[in-house]
Amino acid sequence: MKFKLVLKEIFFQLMDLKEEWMLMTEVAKPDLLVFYIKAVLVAISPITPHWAHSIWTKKLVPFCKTQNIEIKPFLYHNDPSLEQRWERFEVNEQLVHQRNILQKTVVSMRSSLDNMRKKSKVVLDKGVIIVAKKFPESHIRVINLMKKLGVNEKNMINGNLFEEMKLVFTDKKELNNGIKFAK
Amino acid sequence: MVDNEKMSKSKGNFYTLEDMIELYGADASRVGMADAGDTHEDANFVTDICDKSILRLNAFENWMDELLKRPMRKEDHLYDNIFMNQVKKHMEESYKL
Repeated sequence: MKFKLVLKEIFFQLMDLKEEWMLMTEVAKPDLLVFYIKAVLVAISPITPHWAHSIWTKKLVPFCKTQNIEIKPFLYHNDPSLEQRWERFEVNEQLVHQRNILQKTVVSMRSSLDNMRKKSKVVLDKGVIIVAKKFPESHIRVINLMKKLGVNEKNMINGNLFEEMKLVFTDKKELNNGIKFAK
Repeated sequence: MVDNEKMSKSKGNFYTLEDMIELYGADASRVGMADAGDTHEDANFVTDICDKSILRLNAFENWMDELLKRPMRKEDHLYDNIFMNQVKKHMEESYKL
């Protein structure tokens, strides 16, 4: 195990994740909060066992009792720090991608708000993101066409999408919009 | 090495493990050791990492204390799944290391 890299992954990235979550949701959900704290404590316990054990018994266990959440009374049973296995998880790559998109949106919004602040003297402290509930009609037609054609093993669309689009779209303007979206 | 300098008594930067624990406490010293390096290069104990780790551990504890007192929500939020998945991702990444 490379301790330095694990430290970076847990001590910095995992511990900083809480700020991102609180910024997005504002109020915590008990079971998710317990899941997160448990993950941090279990992960950091090989490096800082005293601290992790103290937080687990003095803070996490009493909180779980008030919320009726099941939890082991001690972080370790019979001091088996060497016997404990690292819990494995299944990671959803699509959710990772969604998070990256959201983060990019937040960063670009912050930078554009900063730019606007520099240009105008008006105090800007709020921004609004408007999310369309559905795609425009031409985009839906492109998506349906893509679904119909399907993808091969290399994640590429079967057949010639643009040729098929020429048959589906009669209006030139719509066709151009569709091609722009498909690209 | 300590802070990128070779330990020597004449420079006054010679520390034993006991000195480190007395200065930074057991947990922060262990963080410093873990960060000192796992490769064939000379281990470099950075005292700044120990100081910062004490702050980080304290900040996490304070955040927990404050949050556990606050009212909680029962409803799901769009970001909950993303957050949970991200926690799992970091745990998996650490497993692979």
